[in-house]
Amino acid sequence: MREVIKTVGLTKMYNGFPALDELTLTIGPDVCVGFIGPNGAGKTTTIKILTSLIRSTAGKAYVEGFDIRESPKAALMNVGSVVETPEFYPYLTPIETLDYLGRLRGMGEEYVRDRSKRVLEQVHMEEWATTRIGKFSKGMKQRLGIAQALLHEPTVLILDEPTSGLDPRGMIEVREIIKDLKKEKRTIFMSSHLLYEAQEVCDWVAMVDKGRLIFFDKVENISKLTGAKKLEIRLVEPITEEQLDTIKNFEGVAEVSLVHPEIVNLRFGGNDQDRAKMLAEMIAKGAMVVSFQSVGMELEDLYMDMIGSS
Amino acid sequence: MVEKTTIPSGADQYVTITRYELLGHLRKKRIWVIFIVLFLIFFFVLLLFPAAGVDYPSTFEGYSQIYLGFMSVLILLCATLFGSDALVGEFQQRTGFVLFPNPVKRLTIFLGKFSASMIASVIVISVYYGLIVLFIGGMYKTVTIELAYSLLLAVLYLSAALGVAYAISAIMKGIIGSTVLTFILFLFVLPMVGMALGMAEVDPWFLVTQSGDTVTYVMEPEYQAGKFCIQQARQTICFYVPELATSAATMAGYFIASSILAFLFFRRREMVG
Repeated sequence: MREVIKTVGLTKMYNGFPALDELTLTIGPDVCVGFIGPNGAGKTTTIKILTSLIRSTAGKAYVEGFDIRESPKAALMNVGSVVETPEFYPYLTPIETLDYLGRLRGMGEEYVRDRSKRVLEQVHMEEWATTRIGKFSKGMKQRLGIAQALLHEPTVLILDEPTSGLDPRGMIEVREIIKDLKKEKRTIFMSSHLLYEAQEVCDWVAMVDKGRLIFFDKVENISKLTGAKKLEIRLVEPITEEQLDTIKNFEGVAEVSLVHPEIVNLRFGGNDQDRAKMLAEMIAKGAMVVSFQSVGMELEDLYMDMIGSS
Repeated sequence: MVEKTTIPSGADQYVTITRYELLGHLRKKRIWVIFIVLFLIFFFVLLLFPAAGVDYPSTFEGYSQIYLGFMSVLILLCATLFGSDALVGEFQQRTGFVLFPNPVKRLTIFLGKFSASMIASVIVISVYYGLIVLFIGGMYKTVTIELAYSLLLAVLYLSAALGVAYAISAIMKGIIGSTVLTFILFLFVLPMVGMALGMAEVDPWFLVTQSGDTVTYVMEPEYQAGKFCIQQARQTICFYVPELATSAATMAGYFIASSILAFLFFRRREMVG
């Protein structure tokens, strides 16, 4: 398997404190990996090392097989990145900024012009193309950051909280862009503190805490690990003792809690067929069910389990 | 359709960086501040003599020396406004988060930035020399070759001052600190050290501000290096006119040493925070 991003024993110390503690991680081609963890876990530090913004204290980091410290030029050639909330030269316009960065990457005049137009459309910034960036809001700069990361059609995208600073519509649009990029066979490594974002957008999840990798697996495998799902049942009328007993005695049910006379929360280990059966039994007992649905996310559960125990 | 791009040469990247940095200098308000100061100085000196009812100096060299006495101020302004935030700004204003993850060496970035600062500064001082040629040369119907030597020395002094400004910019954490330190160093600290050494009768040939004075001294019809003392009340105040070759070497030394220092700090500096 081609190793697109690889870290081996990556360590970064700040004044004797390990921001990153022997992180070893290998990411293959054409996958989207969500990089999650609490504040100060080492997410941004890892991304900064991978983009040559800081140097590791020990260990190695490779992008497309190139050591980021020994061959930064080759390693960064096919990488597009957004790190923290990017700032741009206020005296340049987006078109000029993209021309500047495109030329640094060896893009020809016509190519950089065509791509600039395309990426500005992608992030809905085309009408601001010739306005000086000094007047831009944080969200606009974040969009431009994403545009410059996509400019040279990189095979690897390294994104540090790409939806940070965006309004809800902007967040949805950026997620859609990332989903589209996944279809174009690119490797995407994105940090996020939004767990639902990582679960919705990514194929894999890497979780770090205290500078160490504590979990790395496919998103689809998370539900197998977390086991029970959270369910919420809403009724028209207050639940009866008999109906509550039906839920409690159903196989695979754990932690039943009555949050309101008409709302019951529970953890349920069964599959979809078991859920359908439980719903049928409740209705048979005279319960007038308004909704019967999963709440919360498996990743959230896993996160709380892993971070809580680490 | 993905068009293949190849890693551009360092030279191509250098040209791109210089071009856009220069564009930045030309678009910022500060260059107009320098030009306003420049024109104020020029026309103040031009109008001073008739306003005071005093005759103009008898020679082109003599009048030019009065103008060139302000060159150190212009060079200080150029070094401060074009150099002192060039490196630290990438870190404090966080533009480095966009620039540094590109496949470009820090040396190329450094050289591109320095060249742009140098070009912008040379434009400024060339305008000043151009005004001297136009107005003073026109007034006396002559322009001497010494003015060209003065321009060369001014460019050398400028490169030394910019080197020092870049070194400060590479080391300091904030733009304000870097700007203030550069300004104070050239306006007060180095001249005061030079003055104190002069009073102690020590030749301050190693001070870049002392070497920079040759920009004016070179206009003397017969350049004479050495120690000159004036008796004032009970005190003897001495000043030193440096050798041209020594001054040129000192300024070149400052330029080389401070530029290397600036680059080494810039290369090692990380985008933390």
